[in-house]
Amino acid sequence: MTPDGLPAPATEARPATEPGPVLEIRDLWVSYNSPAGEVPVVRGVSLTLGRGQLVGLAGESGCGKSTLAHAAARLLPASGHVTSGQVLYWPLASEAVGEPADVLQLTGEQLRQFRWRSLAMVFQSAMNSLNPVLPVGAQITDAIRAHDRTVSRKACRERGAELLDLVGVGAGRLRSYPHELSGGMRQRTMLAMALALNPEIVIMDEPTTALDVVVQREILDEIRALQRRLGFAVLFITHDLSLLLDLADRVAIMYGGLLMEEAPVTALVGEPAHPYTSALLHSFPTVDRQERLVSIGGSPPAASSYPSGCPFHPRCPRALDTCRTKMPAPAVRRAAGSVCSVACWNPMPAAQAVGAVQEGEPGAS
Amino acid sequence: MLREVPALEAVGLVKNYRQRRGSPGGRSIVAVDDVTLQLESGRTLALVGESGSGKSTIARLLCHLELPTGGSILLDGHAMPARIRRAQRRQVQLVFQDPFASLNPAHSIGYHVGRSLLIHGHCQRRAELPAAVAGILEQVNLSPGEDFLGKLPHELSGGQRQRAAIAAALAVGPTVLLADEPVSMLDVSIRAEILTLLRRLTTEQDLALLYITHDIASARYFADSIAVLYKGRIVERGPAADVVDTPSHPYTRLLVAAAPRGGAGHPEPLPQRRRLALAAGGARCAFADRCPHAVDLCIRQRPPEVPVGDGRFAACWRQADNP
Repeated sequence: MTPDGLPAPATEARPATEPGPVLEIRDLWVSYNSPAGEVPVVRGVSLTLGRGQLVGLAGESGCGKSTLAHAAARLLPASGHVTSGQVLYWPLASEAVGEPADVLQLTGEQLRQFRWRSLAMVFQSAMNSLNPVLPVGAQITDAIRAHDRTVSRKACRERGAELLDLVGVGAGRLRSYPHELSGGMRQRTMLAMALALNPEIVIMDEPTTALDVVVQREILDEIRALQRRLGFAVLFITHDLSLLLDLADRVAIMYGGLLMEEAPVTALVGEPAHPYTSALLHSFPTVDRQERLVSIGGSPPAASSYPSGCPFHPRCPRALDTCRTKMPAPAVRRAAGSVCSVACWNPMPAAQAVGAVQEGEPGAS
Repeated sequence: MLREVPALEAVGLVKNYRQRRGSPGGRSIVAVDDVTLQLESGRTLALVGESGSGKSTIARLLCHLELPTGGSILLDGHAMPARIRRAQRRQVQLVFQDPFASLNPAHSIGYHVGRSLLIHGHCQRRAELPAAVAGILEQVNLSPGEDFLGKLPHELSGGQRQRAAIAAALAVGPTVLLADEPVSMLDVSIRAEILTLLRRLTTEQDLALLYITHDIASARYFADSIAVLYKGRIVERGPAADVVDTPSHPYTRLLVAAAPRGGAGHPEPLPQRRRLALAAGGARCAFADRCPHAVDLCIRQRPPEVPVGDGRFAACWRQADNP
């Protein structure tokens, strides 16, 4: 136990191959106020982002994926609030993991320091995130100097040039305005800005959704290369599971405000435990996988009308009576030698939970 | 089965847009550049390309929402006149990308579909209209159809809305359906359903379908043949499986390499981007400035479309040189 009463970090308990956490979301509940009353949009989600890992968060519209990420970054709109849960951040203090801080408890100046320096965001629409009347170099300078007044403008310019080179835009573009850049270059510039202060965590919310296939692939390759080189952790949010499977270390699937399944990519693809994951994996073709597609009847629920029990039960071929009344709790299981979690009363047969395996139990199957 | 005359055929279609309206000296943009394609009854042609490649412009030209600058459009072998008749317009219907924008929020689903029936004289008596509309709604799996007649678009999910939009197009009684990115606004889990529905309608009603998409994997899955569009030109066309499995044009190869693999093995590395500074347009290969294999000829002369196998064509000098 840590002195402030928080449970000990799961670092020691995890298998050696898994990095220690840098951000840990614990049983987070988020609600929005609406004229009809309080609407819970994220309902008890726990998700761990390992240091230097790329974790993908996939889900359809209205599943709460963006709300979860915004809550973790304390960026919820005024109508949204966290009703319970913790978001723990483990800073890296001189080569050793420091004490965790609850992001939800940070105040004013602490929060300002946390954002961008520890956790940066890349949003979908670069045109809405970049200032159209300032050259991109000036915007990078602003971001750096907002956090450290002592950095000279010259040093900022140098850092800006270095960053733009790093993401493949080229230092020559420092004086360019956002409208002079192509969609792909703008998104790369956003990435450069996010990395300006060497954050440990970068949350990316649909960063490539508006881009063409080829540009999307180029940016994803760039993200992966930078992430390996600089060691930051990424929480990558998208509706497009197919691209996550090529990109992420671990993938979390959300539906109806719940985390349905969380597993390393190989385990998720090889033995999906949740019927929703399994259906989702068979709902899109890829250029080399052209087997018959399975369509999931019905459509994803809106946050204002999540069904009772398991939110997927009206569309689920494996639904039991329990599913209609009781919300499933995430259960830890092992698949392909790693720790996974699934929230389902009747998981897929190939991947029946292997008893109640504790996360910390040594020795994988 | 293949018929002698395609249901809809575009021959040498060209569309230019004046960049600045009214200014006589304004440059014009070539949005569609000498495009020839055939849509056959009961078959699906996928038109694949990135944004700005002219996919939607082709759809708008084919259904006569816009007039081409050059070339001709043949409906059942007959050239479409500039002033189109209702009977001709009826034959080609368009399904738009965004079912949130293509249905009037103030009107019921029954109204949208019923209007198509009334305007085109498929239902003479008002009293028979509800039953006729319900019948069409059931064709698109909105059943029981009666339940959807009075619903407003906002009461439907995205997938249901797109099905209602397809129903409104079907009610007209077309022989050709143009679907412009029909699933890209929808959630992943309901896309397969809409695509399967379109495929079923194509075979059941012997429709010719143009499936416009940026997703080459879904084109491979869903269409009989594929035409790959780049900067307004078709760079490769042929049977869907062949084009994707053994692409012969460098741009098609790039598209296939960039497509997500869905975790199956490692994605192929993309070729290094190469940027030649070339003047826009002109007599050259449209892809020459990005092509990793571009030779001198590619910059000087526009490549002809050459056969590269069974019913396949590519517009590439390298294919012309080594048949």
